[in-house]
Amino acid sequence: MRPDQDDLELIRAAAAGDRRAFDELIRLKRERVVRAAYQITGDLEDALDVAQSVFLKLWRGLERFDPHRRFDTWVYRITVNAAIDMLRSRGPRGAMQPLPEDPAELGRAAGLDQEESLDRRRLQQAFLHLAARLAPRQRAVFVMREIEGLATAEVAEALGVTESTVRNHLLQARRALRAGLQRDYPGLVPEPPHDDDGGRE
Amino acid sequence: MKDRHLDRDVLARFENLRAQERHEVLAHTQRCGDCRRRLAEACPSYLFALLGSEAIPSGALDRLSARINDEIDRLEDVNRRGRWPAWWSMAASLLLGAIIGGFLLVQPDAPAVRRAQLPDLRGPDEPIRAIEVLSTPSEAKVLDLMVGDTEIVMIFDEELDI
Repeated sequence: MRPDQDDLELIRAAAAGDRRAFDELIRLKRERVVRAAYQITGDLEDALDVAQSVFLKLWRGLERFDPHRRFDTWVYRITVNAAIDMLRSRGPRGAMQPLPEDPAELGRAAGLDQEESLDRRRLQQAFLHLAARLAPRQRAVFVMREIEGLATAEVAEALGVTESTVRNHLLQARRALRAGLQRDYPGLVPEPPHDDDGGRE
Repeated sequence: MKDRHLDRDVLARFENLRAQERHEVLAHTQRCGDCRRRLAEACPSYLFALLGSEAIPSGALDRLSARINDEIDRLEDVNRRGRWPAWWSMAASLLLGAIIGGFLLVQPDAPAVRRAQLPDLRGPDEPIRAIEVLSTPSEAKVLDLMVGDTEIVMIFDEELDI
């Protein structure tokens, strides 16, 4: 979700009431909004509800967007806050399920071996299971920083906290997830290799 | 960094890789079991970075777009309908104001004529002799007013049903 001139043009047009521009903006941002919401709520239907509320808030408030700031950070801020609210109001779920397989994705994965395909599904299941034990803010920080790949400063801006708070949440989340991975999903964390040659290109 | 195995330098910088480089590293790691192992050795929770490319089913995304559009249509419809009563009430107020104003302009001395026709209730030399305010158990207020020889009793009671 890199900000660029095209985004700004779309934002301006949508803020002026252009529905087609807003449709295009939705199309560009929806997958990352749903994915971030899904990784925080752990449920696709909840994630879709969160995404719907995010885009409706954007529709109503686009004219307030400051073009000197990063649009994606603003979208993440709304998404994460809505997802945390959803998580808190709904309470913990029982067993959380990985995303249903997308036929298009299955086609793309056809070239990969069976082990690779299983690995992703198990990885997602492990994350949903282990992340359910994290505090909502820790989970949100981990999702934005580690899964979505945002910079620490962007996460801090999105959550309205300091960078040191982000680092602290991230440290605690990593510690809990690492312990959970080693305890509950040892197969996902491979044994250290015995022939470590390092620096291999 | 096109499809090369992860080296120590990349692993050490993994957290701070630029978006494009990170994308390439993860794309390679999706396909390469050895590099996944290296990533997990560096930090087991780095494995979850691979979920950043998890695809959301396109059917769900299309459903989302449809839901958003339906909701915006509904909100705009409500806004449009909500605006009409405000316009109508404003127009009706203006019309009423214009009618009253026009009436007063045509008969500028009408209120003065009506005031002259009112009976004079109290002469200038007849003072108010007594005002007594009484309270009743039902919280009604009674005002007993003497004007000259005339006694006027006023009862103020919200519960009084006439």
